[in-house]
Amino acid sequence: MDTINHLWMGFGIAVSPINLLYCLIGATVGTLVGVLPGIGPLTTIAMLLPITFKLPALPALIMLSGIYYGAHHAGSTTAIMLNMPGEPTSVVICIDGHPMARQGRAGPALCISAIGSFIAGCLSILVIAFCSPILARVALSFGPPEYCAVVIMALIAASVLSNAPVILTIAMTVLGVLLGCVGNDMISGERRFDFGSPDLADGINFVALAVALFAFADILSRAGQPDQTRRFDKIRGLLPTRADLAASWKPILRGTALGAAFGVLPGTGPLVSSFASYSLEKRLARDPSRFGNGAIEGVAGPESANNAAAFTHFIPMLTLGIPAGAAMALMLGALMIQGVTPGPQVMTDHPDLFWGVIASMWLGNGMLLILNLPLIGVWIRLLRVRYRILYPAILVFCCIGVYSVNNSTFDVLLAGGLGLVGYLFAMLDCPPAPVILGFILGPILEVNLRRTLLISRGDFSVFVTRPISLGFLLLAVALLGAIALPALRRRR
Amino acid sequence: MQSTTFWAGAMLCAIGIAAAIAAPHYRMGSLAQMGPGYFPLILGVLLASLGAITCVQAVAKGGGHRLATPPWRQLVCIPLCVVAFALLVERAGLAIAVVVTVLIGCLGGHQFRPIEAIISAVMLAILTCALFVRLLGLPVPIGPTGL
Repeated sequence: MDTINHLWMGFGIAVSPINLLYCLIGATVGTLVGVLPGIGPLTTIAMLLPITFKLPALPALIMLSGIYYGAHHAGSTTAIMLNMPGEPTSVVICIDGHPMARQGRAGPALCISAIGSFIAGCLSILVIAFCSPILARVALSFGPPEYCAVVIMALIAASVLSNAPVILTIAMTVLGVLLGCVGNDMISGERRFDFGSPDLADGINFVALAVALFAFADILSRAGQPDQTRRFDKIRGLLPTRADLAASWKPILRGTALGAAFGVLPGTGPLVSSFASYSLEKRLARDPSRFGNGAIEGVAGPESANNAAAFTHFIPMLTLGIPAGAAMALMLGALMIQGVTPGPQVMTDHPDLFWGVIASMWLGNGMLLILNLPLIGVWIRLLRVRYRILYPAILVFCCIGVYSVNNSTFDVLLAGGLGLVGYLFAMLDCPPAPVILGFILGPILEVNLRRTLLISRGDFSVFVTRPISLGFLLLAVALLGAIALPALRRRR
Repeated sequence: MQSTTFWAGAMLCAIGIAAAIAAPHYRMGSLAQMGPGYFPLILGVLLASLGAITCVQAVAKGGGHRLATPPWRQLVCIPLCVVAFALLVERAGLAIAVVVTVLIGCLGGHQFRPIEAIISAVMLAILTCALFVRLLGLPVPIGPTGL
């Protein structure tokens, strides 16, 4: 089959020494930074993104992917050991993982979570490999109305599936789109909202925005707090018992299926998948009362769901050029800086890039297994690093990172100022991730909207007469309806 | 004192109104041939409406919580160190910029420990210069450039 041939070619590219090295560096750095307290995957990617600019497109993407899934998986290490989720999707792992650690069973918990992640990764990469060409072929028939509809659906889905109130999240998304309007208007070439400054002519530097809203805002909230002393439970042996393995293999497979399906959804698909897996395992268990007290299924299922979702999260970005979440949005930005315009044509124009990345994800997945098991002692030691030593380092790395995008001190100043805005958002409970998503997707939305209306001469019905576009818009309406209905029913 | 949700809505409403006022300064064009000002105007109006709805919901239903007191020392020191970095990095070189940034940054922490701060600063300066300038070839001077 064609896909098999492509995968074979991809592996040929991915195992070249340079690409293997960058894969290893990415996964290691991602795990390292992801384990450190106070740095989640988004901050990690934003901080390390500029390092990849000097690299050619394929190694850069390989390294960034490695950082992404490395940081993602590191979140469960902190969840199990410290009851501190590294990022929202690891919250579920705390529920049963931390009790296991307190019972002295941290080793089996970490081991099962690593094995589950590995299996989930392998299977979901196969999903990516087989589904992407189909999706890309459909996407090749996308015209401006379809892209417009897809973006609207993605933005609404991301807003609906979040933790914050829906209206507020949609508003933050709109704010992001508005920020994306700063700079050159793509169609007419005129400059907008640049306050006369030549530095804003190309728009707000997206790394500056990401760093400001995530890293700087976070540091502003945390720097003043006293260091928390953390108790560490001893790890008494790494290997799970046969009973553990027997109990885990079905949750792993079920979790993988859930994660692979939900991960494609824009926004917090991955978050939904880990919660869904936990609920499913609890419902299917013979003795549900064990959950919450160290049931291994409560770790195996959600962890696999998490990892599967993290991988399938790449699909919309790689096939349609539409990022499914803030992290993907950052990677999309990185690709655009590299000169690769993501979209369905990437598979035909840059097949080595596409299949090389997919093959390298598989290798990186294996590397994660090696990194997370034998080296667990190293990561545990890193967990002890005091935040007060860490955050100046984060500040420095972020400043250098932002500066290096355009060799521009203006960008650094902008990031500093936006950091205060980001803190304001955090203080007012406004979610920052939708802003990045809106910022990256906004220009795509505007260009395609204007092109659609230009071609249809101002006629909006074109959105509903074309089937694919109608489908996406109906989905968006359905998602909004799903949220609005319970609220209406409650009021009655 | 109103809740966080109220102020969030108010802030977003204000931004939306500002955008809606600024947008028509650019050419609007027609629906079929949108000028640069059209889309921002739509966005501004949309944002202002959503912000207003959030405000009204906050007053009517409650939700959100009380505003916490802002950590003033952090809000001054951390942006200050970023500004310091921006001003110093091209004129005084990466090493000095990093040292100053770390020192000011540590001032913004819970407890300022001078020895720890100086050691961190020096080590980070060495690390970043080695990593970014030597290894990755970032085009930035390590030391002060002649003025």
